[in-house]
Amino acid sequence: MAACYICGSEERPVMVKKNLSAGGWALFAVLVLFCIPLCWLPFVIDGCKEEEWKCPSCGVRRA
Amino acid sequence: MPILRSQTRLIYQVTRGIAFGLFGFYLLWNAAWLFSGVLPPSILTEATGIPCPTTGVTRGMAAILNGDWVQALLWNPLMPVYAGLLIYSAIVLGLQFIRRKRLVLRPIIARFWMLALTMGWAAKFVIGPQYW
Repeated sequence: MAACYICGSEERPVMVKKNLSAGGWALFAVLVLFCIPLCWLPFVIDGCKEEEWKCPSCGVRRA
Repeated sequence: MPILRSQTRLIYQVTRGIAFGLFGFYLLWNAAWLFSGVLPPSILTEATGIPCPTTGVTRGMAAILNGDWVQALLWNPLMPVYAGLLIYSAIVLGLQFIRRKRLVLRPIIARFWMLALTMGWAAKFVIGPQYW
C-alpha cells in the first residue's frame, strides 16, 4: 500500500465519498440526450463512480 | 479558478437531484397525457425524429390492456424487461432511501439495465419507424 504523500503514514486510507467518474458523467450525458427517464441510473451504479480516499493521519484526500 | 471539492460535491448533488427530477417529470408528463385521454408521444421522437430505448412502452402497455400482445411487443419488445427492472430497482432504491442507506444497485442489475437499453434501442431501429 502506498504511503501518504504528505505525512508518509502507511495507515490504510479511509473512503470518504463516491463521485461520478468521467465514464459516469459520459453515460449521464448520453442518457440525458437519448433516454431522459433513465438518466438517474449512473448515480446508483457503483461502476460509474470513483472513490475518494482520505489519509486517517493527516486528513489529506486523494483519488 | 480551480473548482473546489465542495463545489464538485454540490455539482454532483444538484445533478443527481435534476436526474431524479427528470424521471418525476417524465412520469407526470405521461400521467397528464393519459388523464386527458390521449396516449403520450415519445419526447425524443417528437423533438428529434429518432426513438429512444423506451419509446413505445406506454403505447405497448395500452395494447396489453386491449389484449393485443403482438402489438405490445412491436411497440417495444423489451417492455416486460424494463417493467421488471424498474419495479425491482424502485423497491431496492426505495428501501435504501427509507433506511437512509447509500442508493446503489447491484452490479448484475446495472449490467441488465445497460444490456436491456442497448438491445431495446437496437430493436426500435430493426422494427422500423412505424412503431416509433
